[in-house]
Amino acid sequence: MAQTTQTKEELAETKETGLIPIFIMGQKYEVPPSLTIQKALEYAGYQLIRGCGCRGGICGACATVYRKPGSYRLEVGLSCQTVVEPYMYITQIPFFPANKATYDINLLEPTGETVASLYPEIFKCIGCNTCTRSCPMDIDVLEYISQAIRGNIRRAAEESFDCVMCGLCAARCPSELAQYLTAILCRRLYAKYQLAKAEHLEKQVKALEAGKFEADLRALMQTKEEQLKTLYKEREVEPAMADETWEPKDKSHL
Amino acid sequence: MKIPYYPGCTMVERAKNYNASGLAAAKALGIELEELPKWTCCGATFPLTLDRIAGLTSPTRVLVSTRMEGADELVTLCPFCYNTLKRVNFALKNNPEERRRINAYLKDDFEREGSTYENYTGEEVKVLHFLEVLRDKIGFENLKDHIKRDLKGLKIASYYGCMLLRPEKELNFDDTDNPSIMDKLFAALGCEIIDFPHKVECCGSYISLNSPEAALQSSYDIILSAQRFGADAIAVTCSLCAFNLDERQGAMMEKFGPISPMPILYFSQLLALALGVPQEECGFQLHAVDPRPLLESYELITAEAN
Repeated sequence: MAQTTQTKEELAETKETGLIPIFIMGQKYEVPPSLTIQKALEYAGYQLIRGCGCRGGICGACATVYRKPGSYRLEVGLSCQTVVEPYMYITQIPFFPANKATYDINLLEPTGETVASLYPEIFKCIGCNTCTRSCPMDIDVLEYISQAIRGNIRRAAEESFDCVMCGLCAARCPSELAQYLTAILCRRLYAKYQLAKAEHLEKQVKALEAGKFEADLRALMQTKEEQLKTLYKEREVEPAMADETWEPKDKSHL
Repeated sequence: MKIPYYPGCTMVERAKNYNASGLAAAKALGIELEELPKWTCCGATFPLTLDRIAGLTSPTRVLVSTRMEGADELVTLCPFCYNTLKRVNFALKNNPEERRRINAYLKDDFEREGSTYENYTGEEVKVLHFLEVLRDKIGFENLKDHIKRDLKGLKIASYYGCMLLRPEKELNFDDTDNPSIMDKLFAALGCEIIDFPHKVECCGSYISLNSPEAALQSSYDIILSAQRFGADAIAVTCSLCAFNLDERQGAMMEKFGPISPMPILYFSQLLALALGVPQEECGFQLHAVDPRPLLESYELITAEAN
């Protein structure tokens, strides 16, 4: 596909320098091929003040739209997670103005009517599915909006669970919906009013308030910096792939 | 018998009594109405503008999803969904340019998600209303084998509304001026049939949103007419008719003076009752005009269980 715009000379040039050409907001730059879009932006000289957050694919600040040569399709990604490819046309859309309802979650009822009254524009959805195509988290956005329309808060919350609130759905919606904001309303209503309460959490909070870790923390505050560094370096870390039965060797803080 | 079922947005939360009683009645007849795993809004009204590609695309997606489930029929209870989906089939079949553009759009959409897409021409999935399933697949005369509770001459006026009947050429559901499908059903269930002149008059439909007075007059005329002809209750097929006829009776009395309350029931609730579905599953408590005193007076339900 890329052959349509890459001349032989350009390819040869790429081979020689080890850099690949990309276009940032229409301007051509040469960048190392192993970089993410975010690092490529910085390599090209951009200082990211907005549109950059956790750098780990979680915060949703670095929503990016790009197109590759030879295809009309717009593609999306988080710039901290997407590796550059030759002749990518890239622009970041870190923020998009979307209608954000103001509410006090404590005063709402967990009903479809609540969602409908705070975000009435969901009923303008024409079912084009562009939102789903625009989601860098591969969420079925049309599905959760459909669930919100029919008042099923639980399903809307579950379907939208992976949302990082990047806002690309809203940026591309022909009906001007604020999908990701509607979704977090559903997750808040579901979590507060419908999901079973976590009893162990309540117990733990009570224990903390009663001073469970008070002595440990005070002791830590008295520790000298050098010893603190050693303690930190030698601390026991839960392995990345540990199952739920994992327990630390020192159980005194459990 | 298993047929895919398209509930539509209203059924799930706002017409639970219709949905639950319809599904329970189907089950009692050995028909499994299986909800599509994923579905979107059908658009609720068939688009009548000239530029209607966007309006046709969403309901076409529903029909295409049905075919992807390997089915060639789709059942609805909601007459608005029935009307929209069936007319979309008609539109696709008869308008090659619209068919081409909608298919091109959906093909791209489905292929991005990794599905193989075949052109949809408006003929692959037949849209059926549950009443048609009862008439054509079960047969009203065969219902008596399934009846557990005779409806004992309950006087029912069937109100048909518009969405199942018109436009006749596209829907081909029943006689548009003198429909009889519900009357035949209720006769089979042991009801006394009340024929009344307002059975296909408009109830006001969604006019009740922007011109509530006009809608109120229409619904009031229907209720008065049914009462004059001696009906105990009016049976409906549509949650918007139910809203106008049932929930607006308070407003009618405010405007026109007292009337004796007229219970409005979904046809599926009466069917479910006759088929022996427990009364708790029929949602009789979800009405503005409580139908339970009437049903209790005919000894069709018991007071304790509610």
